[in-house]
Amino acid sequence: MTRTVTDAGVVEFAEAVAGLDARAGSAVVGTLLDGGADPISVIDQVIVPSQHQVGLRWQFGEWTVAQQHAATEVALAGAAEIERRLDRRPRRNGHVVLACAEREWHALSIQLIALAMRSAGWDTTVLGAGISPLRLSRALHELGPDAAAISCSVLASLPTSRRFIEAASAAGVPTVVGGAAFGTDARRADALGATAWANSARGATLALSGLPLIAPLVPPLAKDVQSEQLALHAQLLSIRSEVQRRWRPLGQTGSVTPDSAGEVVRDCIDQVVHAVVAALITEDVSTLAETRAWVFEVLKARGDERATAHASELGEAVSGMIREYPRAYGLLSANW
Amino acid sequence: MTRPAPGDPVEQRLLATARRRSTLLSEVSSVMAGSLNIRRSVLRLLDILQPDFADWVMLGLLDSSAARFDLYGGADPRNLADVSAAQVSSFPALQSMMITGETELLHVALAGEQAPRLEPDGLDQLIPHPQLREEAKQLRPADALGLALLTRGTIIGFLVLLRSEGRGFTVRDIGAAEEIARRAALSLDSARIYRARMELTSALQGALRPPALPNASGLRLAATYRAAAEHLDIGGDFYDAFTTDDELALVCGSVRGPGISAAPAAIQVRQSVRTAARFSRRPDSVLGATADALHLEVPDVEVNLCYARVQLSPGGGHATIDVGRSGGVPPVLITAAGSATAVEFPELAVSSYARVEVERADMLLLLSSGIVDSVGPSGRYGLDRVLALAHRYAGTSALILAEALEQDVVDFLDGKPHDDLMALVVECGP
Repeated sequence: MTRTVTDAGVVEFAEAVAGLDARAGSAVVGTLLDGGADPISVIDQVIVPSQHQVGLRWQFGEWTVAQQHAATEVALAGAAEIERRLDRRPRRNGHVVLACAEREWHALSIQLIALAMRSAGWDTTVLGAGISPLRLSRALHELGPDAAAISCSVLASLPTSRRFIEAASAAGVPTVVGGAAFGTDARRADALGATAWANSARGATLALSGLPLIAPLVPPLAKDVQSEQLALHAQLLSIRSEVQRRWRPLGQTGSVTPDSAGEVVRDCIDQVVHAVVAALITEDVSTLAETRAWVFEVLKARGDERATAHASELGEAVSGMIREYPRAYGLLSANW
Repeated sequence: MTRPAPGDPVEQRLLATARRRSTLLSEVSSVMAGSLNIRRSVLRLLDILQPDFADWVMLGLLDSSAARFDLYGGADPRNLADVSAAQVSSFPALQSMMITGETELLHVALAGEQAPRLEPDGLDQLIPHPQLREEAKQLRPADALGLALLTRGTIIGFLVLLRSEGRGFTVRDIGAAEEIARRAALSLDSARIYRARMELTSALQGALRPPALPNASGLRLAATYRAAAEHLDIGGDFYDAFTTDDELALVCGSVRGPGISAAPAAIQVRQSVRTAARFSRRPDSVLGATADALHLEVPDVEVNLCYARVQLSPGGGHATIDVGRSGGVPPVLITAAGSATAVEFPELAVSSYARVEVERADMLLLLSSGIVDSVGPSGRYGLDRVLALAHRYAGTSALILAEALEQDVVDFLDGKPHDDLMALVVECGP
């Protein structure tokens, strides 16, 4: 079996996603698999890149959230085609529980990783998206897996992903983490106490084979980090409403894109707070520069001619609201 | 006897040994308390004991039927073997431990030894599995220590520790091993109790919802369920979907009551609806018969029920849905063209029902009151938010709408407690 996929297959699947055509997406994946491509390559080289494009289409104001969801269904159809062809025999490598933490709703990623793991000989249980630490704990105690896999694509979900890692390590279960919010190297994963980090479906399956039998208990977060993180979470609504009063990036005419200007502004403000919290708990300040660049792109795509200045002002506005949290304030002030 | 002076190498060694034992004991307690899963608990125990305290470890634990022992340990502790309780009884040392709870220390005769040992067949008395026994013999151990796992008045298994020559078990080591066995037994018994509760919970879960939504030709179904007792996944809300001949029946219901205590009544309601639907499929008949049955069997239980009968036209692309309800939230009709409206009923009584005609890509959303009554930091979620969201997702699909609704409500709650959240969507498919 070859591990390669054809360029034509990649293009055709991207076209199926762009056309929100689930049937075509399914057919493309079927053809690739029939041609000898292995499932993990199809996931990493065909389906995942198409979803990245979907995210960019929203970021650039071309698609609504509803269209994003519809595009996800095309990817799900492709995943279903892979699943249909998977070997049904029992898998002997071990058992993995997969979940996305609260505030993370991109369940597709965890489903794709589960498919890759199954094709590599692991049994999987997918808990889904937006899962609470309590629910994960229950699954760990009930199923006694060899590993827990946590996918996190949004910074907002990193704090709960950390609680997932704590829950797993308390049960001695090693963790593999991945997703855009964990960045492009293992630094954030290490800081949060994960056993392993992966940046692709294949990487996740390779990481599984190198995991220890027992994960050590992760040390608790520093007390001031923990207390500022919890306080910022509790203050999110009041920070948002106060900043919304002061920060008006899209002008009186509103957004020129399908999603309402109010939603976009709210998302931008929330992202800054989540990026500060992520920097707090991972000690990686690159979350702030990434978020600033993201805010700039979102505003620019929605016709904001002063996107650079508005992105800068957003950091200042949020800074003004978090002065009582010295660590968070210091991070945002120095790195926005 | 002269006491060694402080700083004396002998005293330092003794102190270090005592500290190691103390650390080991506290590690067994704290680490094993972290898991309520039997397998993970055993793996952690083996990880702590090997190789510092013993060169080889095996643990046997009675399964829930008490007819077999699950065996853990050996070179690859991930692998699990099992033997029958009858087999174990043919191993004298094990059998003695399982009856008396007394520790057994056996010295193993090594091939080629001149001096006679106390128990020349120690391993053959203690290790009831041929592969594990052979593995243990390869280690050429000198001492084998067998301990009963005794807790809460019952012996639930045994622990076997092997040490190689020159590293036999001292009296203090045996005392430490007995304490380890006591602590491990307590943790493992708690995990056994937890497993029994989980099995019960899983059985209840299975009775509240179908394991999978049925494949109904020409229609697409999706459901979402998030219980108030989220870690248990059980509540008083339930849904069902089943086919009767060429029709589809959808049920969405809730039984008033806190969390898990409402589940048995919810299961009874679900079964009553299924039974009633065998005799007549009209919503008024099904709801009426169900109400009569419940009045007789659980008269004090307050039930909200919505029942939809979906009849697909020949060739597909159009369906007639008769929907009746006895309380709760009205279903929402979402057309592909973009409208989202609550279905209107002539009157809220089991004797009346509404008829809805749906075309390709139209959807009908059945939902629990837990969704509209959710209270987040900015107030109550309400039916208006449901309608606004349904409007945004008109023309997508049942799966997308169900996922989007769940996400929107959970984000709205922002971590606050909630009632059961449940939605069932049917889409007139391609």
